[in-house]
Amino acid sequence: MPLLNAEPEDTLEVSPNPKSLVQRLEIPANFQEIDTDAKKSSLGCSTVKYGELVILGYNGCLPSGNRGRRRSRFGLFKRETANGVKPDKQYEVSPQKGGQSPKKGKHTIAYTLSRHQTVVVEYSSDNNTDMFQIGRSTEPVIDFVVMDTVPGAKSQEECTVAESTISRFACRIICDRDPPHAARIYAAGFNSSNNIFLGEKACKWKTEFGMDGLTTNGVLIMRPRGGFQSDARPGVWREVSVGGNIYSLRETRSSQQKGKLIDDEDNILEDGTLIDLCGATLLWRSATGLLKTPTQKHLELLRQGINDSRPQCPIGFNTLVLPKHRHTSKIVDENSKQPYAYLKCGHVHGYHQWDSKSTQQKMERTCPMCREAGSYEPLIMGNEPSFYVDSGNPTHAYVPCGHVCSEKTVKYWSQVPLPHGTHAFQAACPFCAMPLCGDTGYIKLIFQEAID
Amino acid sequence: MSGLPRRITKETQRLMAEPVPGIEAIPDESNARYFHVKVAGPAESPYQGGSFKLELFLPEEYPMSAPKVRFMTKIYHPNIDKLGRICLDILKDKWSPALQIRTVLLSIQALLSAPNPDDPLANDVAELWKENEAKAIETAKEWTRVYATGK
Repeated sequence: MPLLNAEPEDTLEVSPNPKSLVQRLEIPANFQEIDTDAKKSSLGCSTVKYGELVILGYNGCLPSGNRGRRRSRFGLFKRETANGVKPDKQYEVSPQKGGQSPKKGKHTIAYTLSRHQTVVVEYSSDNNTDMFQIGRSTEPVIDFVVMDTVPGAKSQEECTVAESTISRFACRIICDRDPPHAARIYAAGFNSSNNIFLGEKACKWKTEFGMDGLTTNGVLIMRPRGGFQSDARPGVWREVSVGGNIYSLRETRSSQQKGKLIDDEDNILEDGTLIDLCGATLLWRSATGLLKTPTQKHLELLRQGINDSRPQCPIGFNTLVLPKHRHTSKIVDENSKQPYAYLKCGHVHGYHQWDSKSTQQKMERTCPMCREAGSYEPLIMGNEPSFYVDSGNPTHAYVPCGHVCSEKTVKYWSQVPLPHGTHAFQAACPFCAMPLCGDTGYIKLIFQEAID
Repeated sequence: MSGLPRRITKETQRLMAEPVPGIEAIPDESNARYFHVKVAGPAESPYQGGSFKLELFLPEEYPMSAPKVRFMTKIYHPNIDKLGRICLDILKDKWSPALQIRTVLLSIQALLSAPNPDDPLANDVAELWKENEAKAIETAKEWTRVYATGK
């Protein structure tokens, strides 16, 4: 189990200083990493894991490293004490008439119907559930801080966006503390005053049970058909409301007009459910789903398997080694072990200058093996195990980024339309969020084995 | 062979260890980039029974540019001129660094089996080849007997 998170980025954080280790263990349960979780269990704490959220577009780690609540993946663990909330009572307030005002400390959702009328839904503690909040805010009420994903960003600097579209308090997930630990998602999170406000302009309405509404950019979910496994197919994107109901998508992302209520669908997260926060997309992996997913150790063995066959550059005849991480600088040494592939045909080479003069003008180069013109990119192992739908050999690569993973995995993600902009969808590489291109978005790699 | 790119070393080793049938390529003792080549005239061709000497030189840019190959033995062929120069696309614009000495020599062997008078280098030979193929083949056989049988 600790192997799942045995990533070098994490080990970098672990300081030999005993004091810092103590500080690490003092972090609230939900911030724990699995590796520290092992230490936790020795202290007699709970280690029930509900599941994991993984941000699409990171290859196991944020460019700035995985630290605290800012990380590429976040485990949801049973809390020591329940902190879930459930709707309790509803009342109207109006500034003129005065009337009941929300109790301090209580979780409330205020639906402002007009300047004169606000409906408040008061929430009470629920001992049977744990709540986890996700958003852009770094206030302590947010358990998992999620910033906008910048496709292909390799450094912290490249990760910043001028204007975020992610809500500071984007969504909340409520998990049943008892098996089977159903996890339900709701749009909007409570702020530091435990409130959610849906202003005058927000899309909101009365239901037969009370009030409901949508957040500005909305929270969209998509469940894979047939579960998150090798034959998975993408499902239909839906919008989840503040009250946890499911709607068809709005005309545009932040339209005032809500979609149609989808009666027979619920807000329970299933293994592989995608959650789109408009600017970042999260993948939910359930605890049971994660058991079937390859571990980091497994991926490492698969990578070694490729390298053990000693693939060779058909031009320089030098042995190539598929690396785990992207090299920081561009490889320009012809004796480098870094494999490059022509992403139109899949032929794997070492770095070379053949037909490179013309690349100043165009992005494509001619493959020396088959003369097919295509982009020529370094290959990097896809290291985030949660994105894998099976444990197949890393034989395929995404186009245009060159992230390598199993055939089933490239095929699945190449079919998944991810929300993009206000009303568009596009498939993207899960490891770097680059929009896929080419006929299929991926290519089978052709390695040349050593001839000697 | 110090200072020689790994690629050339490996190609040479393999050429010696697993020679192509009908082709002999031996590096010069004093220049590892210069090969003494002998190609046997392919069966069912006018060159059958002949042994043709060629020289093959790997330029500094090899494999980014093609080897220089030339027939030393006189040969009557529409795509090979009297200086021994060969008209073969892979030695010119169709060169690719994925090609090797081995593949180049195989292509030359194939060219002997399939002369292409529509893309001539030796115009007089090509014209005869198109006008009177039987006579051209007879001439090629004669030249093979005279120049390529080690007499």
